[in-house]
Amino acid sequence: MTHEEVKILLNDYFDEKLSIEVNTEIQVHLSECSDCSQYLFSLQDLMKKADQLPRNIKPPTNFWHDIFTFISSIKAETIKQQEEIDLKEAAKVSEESSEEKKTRDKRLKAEKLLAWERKKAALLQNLKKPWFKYSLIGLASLVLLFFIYDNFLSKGNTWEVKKLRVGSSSYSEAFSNLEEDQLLETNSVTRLEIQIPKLGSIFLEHDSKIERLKADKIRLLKGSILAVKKDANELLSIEVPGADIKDYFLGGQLKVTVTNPEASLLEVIDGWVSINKDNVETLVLSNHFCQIRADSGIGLPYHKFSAKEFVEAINNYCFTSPGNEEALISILTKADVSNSVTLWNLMQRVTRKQRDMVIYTMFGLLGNPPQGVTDEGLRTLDPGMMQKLIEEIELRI
Amino acid sequence: MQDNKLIKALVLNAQLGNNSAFEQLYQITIEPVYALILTLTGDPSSAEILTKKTYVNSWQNISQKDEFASILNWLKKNAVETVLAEKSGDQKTDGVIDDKLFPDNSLEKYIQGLEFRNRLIYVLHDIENFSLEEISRLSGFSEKEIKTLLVNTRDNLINLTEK
Repeated sequence: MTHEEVKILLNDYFDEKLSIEVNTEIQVHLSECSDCSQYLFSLQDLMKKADQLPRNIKPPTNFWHDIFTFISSIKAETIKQQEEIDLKEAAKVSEESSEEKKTRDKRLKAEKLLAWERKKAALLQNLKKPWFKYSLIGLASLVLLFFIYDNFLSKGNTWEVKKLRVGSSSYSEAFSNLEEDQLLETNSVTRLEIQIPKLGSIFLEHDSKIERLKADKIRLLKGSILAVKKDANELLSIEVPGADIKDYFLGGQLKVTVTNPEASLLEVIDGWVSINKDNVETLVLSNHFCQIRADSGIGLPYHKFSAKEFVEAINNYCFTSPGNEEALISILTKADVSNSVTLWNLMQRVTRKQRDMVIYTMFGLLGNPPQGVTDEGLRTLDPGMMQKLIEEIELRI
Repeated sequence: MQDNKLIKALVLNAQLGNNSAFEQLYQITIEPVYALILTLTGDPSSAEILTKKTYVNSWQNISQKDEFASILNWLKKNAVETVLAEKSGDQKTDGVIDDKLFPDNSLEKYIQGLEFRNRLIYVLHDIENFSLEEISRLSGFSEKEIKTLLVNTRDNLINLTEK
């Protein structure tokens, strides 16, 4: 056996890769050969040193930002390529059926024209009959009278104020009316309910103050209000320092608190609410909070179960370092699917380049985008696609 | 080593395209992955580029990750593949070692002085505990060639450290 072969065997012996028989032979050899024993000792010593080498080394900088940017650009490219393939396929299909489509469109147009002409002829025929003419005039007068009453005579409607008994909202007693430009204030023991016709009720909490403005608008000066809208056919508008809060749909529940002259907090319990400032609309869905600051603007809405770190990231981006890209990435990397409303609003506040990152983060969280929503459309904030997307988000969260 | 339930959930979410889950996996694994790449390259700037490439490649291929493989082992294999794709098999690194990075007369320094293929085999086998079969699959060397390279490298390092 050559010296090299013995060395290889000793290494195998050291790595415990020998059969029991060869192992025993080596042990016998080691007890007789000092050179091989010394070599084995050196191997053990080398392994001890290798075991002490650091297995973890902290990189000098955080590489995640660069990795994330790269991943986002790959995602954008992949989706773009898929869209191009889809478009080509769609064009192919439409080419094949364009002739059929033209014929069908022509036929539909002709049918519509014929139906309209028939209706017109029937109406003209009826107009010649006196009973039809007088019925029409009577109906128009009724509609006009209802319009005048509804918009002028019934305006100046009274907002009845009721005092709520301590600890209850079900027992109340009439207190006074609230007229336009009038102030209403509660102390530490009173709560008031203001009943607004065609809208619902507003509960003025302890130590709060509001002013009734024109139409169905109020200004919250301090404290908090809970608006409960039932069978409403008017939209409510609440002014707080720095913004106007409006409900998006008829009906819903929301709570607004003015924490100090500079800051307010909106909580949407049910329904959708929009906050407007400087022509930028922020949409807040149910189970979401949104901070408003008179000096630095409107925060991004966040889900009531959002992680503390996520809310801190939002506040940092909106108020501490507005528009900062590091702060933006911090939001994106901390977001999960329940934060999709935040990302939807964020899309409208970032640059076009940054919007790609927001879009692909959102697509990553939601899985496939809804039918008819494309990244190209969202890049230009296409209103139809934005609406479809927020409706889909509402279903998912 | 098997991944715990949290890591399995993060992998599953990352496979569904959740960047936030992938970032958490990055935070959990970056230090051992960077240590491996730095030891293989001996150069912090190359290590930075290759670490970023490793994670981008891993993000692209995470759907192919075997359900039972540990995420750290899988990332380390990806790291080795990324390093190998950048380096030719017999490239020497003499003269590119960052002197300040490793202390004089240390095993790290001697490892950095090895030819790349010897260093690769030694690091993967004796430091990272990869099997001969895994090293063979990653490097393209036969198991016999790896054994010979390993014996020579150990001899070389014993001579250097016992000087």
